Amino acid sequence: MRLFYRLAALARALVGNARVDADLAEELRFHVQRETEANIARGLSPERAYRQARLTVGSVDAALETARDQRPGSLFRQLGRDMRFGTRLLAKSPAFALAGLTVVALGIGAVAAIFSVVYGVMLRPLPFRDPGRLVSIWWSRGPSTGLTRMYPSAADVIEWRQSTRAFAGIGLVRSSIQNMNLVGAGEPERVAGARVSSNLLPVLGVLPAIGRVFSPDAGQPGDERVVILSDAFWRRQFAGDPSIVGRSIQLNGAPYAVIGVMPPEFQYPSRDYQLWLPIVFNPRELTRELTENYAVVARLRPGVTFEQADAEMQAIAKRHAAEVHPTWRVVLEPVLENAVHDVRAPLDVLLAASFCLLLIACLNLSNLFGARAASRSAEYSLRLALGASRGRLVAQAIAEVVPILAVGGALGVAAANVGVRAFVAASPPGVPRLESVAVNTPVILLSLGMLVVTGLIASLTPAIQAWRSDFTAMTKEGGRAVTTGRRRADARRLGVALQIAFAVPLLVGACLLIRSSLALAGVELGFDPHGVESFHVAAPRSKYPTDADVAAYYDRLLARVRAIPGVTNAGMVNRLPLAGNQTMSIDVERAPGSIVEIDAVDSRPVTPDYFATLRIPLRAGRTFTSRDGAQASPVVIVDERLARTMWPGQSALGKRVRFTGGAWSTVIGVVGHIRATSVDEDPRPQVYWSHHQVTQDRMVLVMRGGGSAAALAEPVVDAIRSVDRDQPVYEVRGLESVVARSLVRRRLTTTLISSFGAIALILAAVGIYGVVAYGVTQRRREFGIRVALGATRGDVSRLVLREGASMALIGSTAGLVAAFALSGMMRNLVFGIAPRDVVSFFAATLTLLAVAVVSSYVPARRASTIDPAVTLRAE
Amino acid sequence: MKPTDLVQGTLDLLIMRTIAAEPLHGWAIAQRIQLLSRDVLQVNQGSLYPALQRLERQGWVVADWGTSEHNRRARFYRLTAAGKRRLLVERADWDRLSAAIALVLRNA
Repeated sequence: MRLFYRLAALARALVGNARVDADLAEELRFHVQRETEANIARGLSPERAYRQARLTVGSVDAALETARDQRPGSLFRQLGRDMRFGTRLLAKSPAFALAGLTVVALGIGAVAAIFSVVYGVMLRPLPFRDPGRLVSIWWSRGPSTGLTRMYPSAADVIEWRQSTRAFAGIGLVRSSIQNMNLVGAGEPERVAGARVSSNLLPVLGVLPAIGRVFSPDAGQPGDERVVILSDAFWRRQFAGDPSIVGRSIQLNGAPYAVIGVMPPEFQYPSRDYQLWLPIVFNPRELTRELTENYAVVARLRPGVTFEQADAEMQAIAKRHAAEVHPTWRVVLEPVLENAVHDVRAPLDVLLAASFCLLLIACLNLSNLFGARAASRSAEYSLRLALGASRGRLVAQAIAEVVPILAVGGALGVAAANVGVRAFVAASPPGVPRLESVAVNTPVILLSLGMLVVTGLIASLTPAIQAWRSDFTAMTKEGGRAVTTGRRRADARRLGVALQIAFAVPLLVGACLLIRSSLALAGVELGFDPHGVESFHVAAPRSKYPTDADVAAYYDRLLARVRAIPGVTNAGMVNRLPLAGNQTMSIDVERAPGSIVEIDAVDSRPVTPDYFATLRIPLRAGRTFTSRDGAQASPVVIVDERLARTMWPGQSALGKRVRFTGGAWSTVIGVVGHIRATSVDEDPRPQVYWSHHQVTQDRMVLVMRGGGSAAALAEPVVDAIRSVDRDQPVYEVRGLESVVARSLVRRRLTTTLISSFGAIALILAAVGIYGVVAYGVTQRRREFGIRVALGATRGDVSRLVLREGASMALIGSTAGLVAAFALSGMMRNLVFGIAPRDVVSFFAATLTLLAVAVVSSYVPARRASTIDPAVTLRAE
Repeated sequence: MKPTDLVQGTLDLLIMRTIAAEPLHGWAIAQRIQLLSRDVLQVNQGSLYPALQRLERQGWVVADWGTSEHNRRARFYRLTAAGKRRLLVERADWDRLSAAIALVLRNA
């Protein structure tokens, strides 16, 4: 019952404040009336009676006020009042408010945007059941070879399945894309499919949204033509019709039974894959006569730790490697770590940079509000004198910070949202899990946390200022004191020095990346991408069953394309440079009887005109001709690096090379070495085969056209279609854009870090200017006296400049130490320079010092124009 | 003794005791306390009404609008059941405390 009364009273206080106040006011009026009547009854005149009543009863307003403050929730009402007061004050100085908002929005926006990407790519759990229990398994040939992540073979996995106890299941995904030509309504379409082991989905712990997983026998004769569709493909191609399960679709000219549709979040191995098909093992794979590459993912058996599994695998692999590859080691890795392996370094750097920027923003804000609080010290002492408590002063000093934080934070998160969408749309190729990047709950929570921290840091100076205010400040500040608030000024200088210290690593990072980009731009690619267009084509085995059919089809295509007016060269290759790798191990006969195995070379089947189209120079011998057919003696072209290292001082022509374990081919030509893997890495030599002798059912047609190859794209597509209507032409791109795409991730990192650096520089400049300019206004009188006593204008401006320069020097010294310590993070990002590149460190520091001097120059000039007569008399 | 010198709990006790017998409005409570204390305790409205609101919030008293002796609207306060129990406890406490203080004063 009492609880009920209490709740009722609380509800009245919270909801019906106006009612309670009105009730109370009426009660109080009644009280005064009764008192007055009592006084009249005692014989006083009505006026005196009323006056007397008011005196004994006390102030109605005060009673109302006390009653109100006692009510529950009064703290919030107080806060609300302070907030409104703060907002009104801010509205009166829009320039200040705008500066504060910009700083908060920049800091929070940068962190929110970068964290969205980091969270989406690196931290968000994978959409598998219990993803922490999944590991990838690789071979490593040792760190010195650079080949630390090599795909195992099917024979390896079969052996592991038999001999390990650590895993509940080991699944495989064939590393090469299984391209399927979908023929149905409309234009033929190329669809990327993944060949997966029948147990892969159970190992990952993901079930189809509709239908079933592969049966254990999938891939065996009789159960080969089954397919599971991705959600996106199902919606696009079959309008999300659930009855598709159980029907069959035409892929590569053969019917495949659709057995399931995966849920939308299942994008494995990446979002490019739209179909999953069972692996059809070649019997020769299982006897190690032939090697196909597989990505291997295994689920730990319940109760088995990662370390135990690793130890068991090492022991087994050692035993079995001793038979096959003595120097190899097996590598286990948590799946998420493996998925983000390549992007971890740039994302770590970006995250660190955004936090750096946020810290600078915090310090900037703190100084901004500190200066404002300092200018209000007279007001504070007046309030104090009128009876305000110090706590109330602090609350009001902070009250101004809160609206700035709230609005600035909201702006920052909104900007981050826009930025992240743009980032995902720009979608650099090869960034995994990009589809899961968004400004989501964890990002917003982090932003809120950052806002609270920002608020604490930014409120520190004004709060201390308000707390320290005393009655005498009123007279001192406006009065005759020659120098003021040493401690206060020191705190602000420290703030600026710290901002500079945090800006240095950012600027150094930006310089390192910009210099790396310049170095990259100067890299000789070894081929000329300008004016070359590329077209992906395929020849399905169902229609072109033999290698000869496929090669003849390609020859027909090329003849048709060459006939187009304006086309100067046309050739084919199975994979464009800088667009993924295909490595092979080869045997090289250095001298009769001396055979060397090279673990990995870039291997490409090409048509004769490929080298001329890309302007890859022929150094010796000849290129392929139509005589190098399937029946002719096998031939190979090697690049100059292989020729130089294998046969130094001799001609490579006439020497012999073969796929490891294959038939020997004779070297007929040596061509220039090109950047085939990436612009910034050049790990392997290259070999080329005649497409008649090593035939691939998927090729890229490259075409060089007189002036504008892009304008010829349409006739070329038509020409390809005219040969076989049913085959799709896809990924039509200029070779220059292929090169640019291979650099997009690096360019993005460089752009982001550089813009962070620029923002940091601007904030630092504003910080220095603010503090120095404030110092000048505070020291007008001092400067006046100095000038009156004979100091020159130069002396005065030097004094001011020195203040700015000293902050910059102290800050950049500390910053250089920090940058030096952090430079290790940049190891994987720099190109052509050391991560502790002296030029970059020097340039960053010099830029900051220059900015410091420039930002102190304006106040210094103002100080030098102080007229002692005016200044001294004015006070 | 000035009203402000009343210890907070003491004023609450006096108010609850005053309205224990019958519901009273604010002014009558102040008058009754003044009268019974022979003008020693004067309760001004700056402490009376906040105290009443506090008691109301704690659920010891409830107030209803009623008609006063001169036919005017006034808010009448009465003890709730919980308030009555509370009054007993507080009275016992007070008696014990004042007896203890008296003992010390007399015998020290």
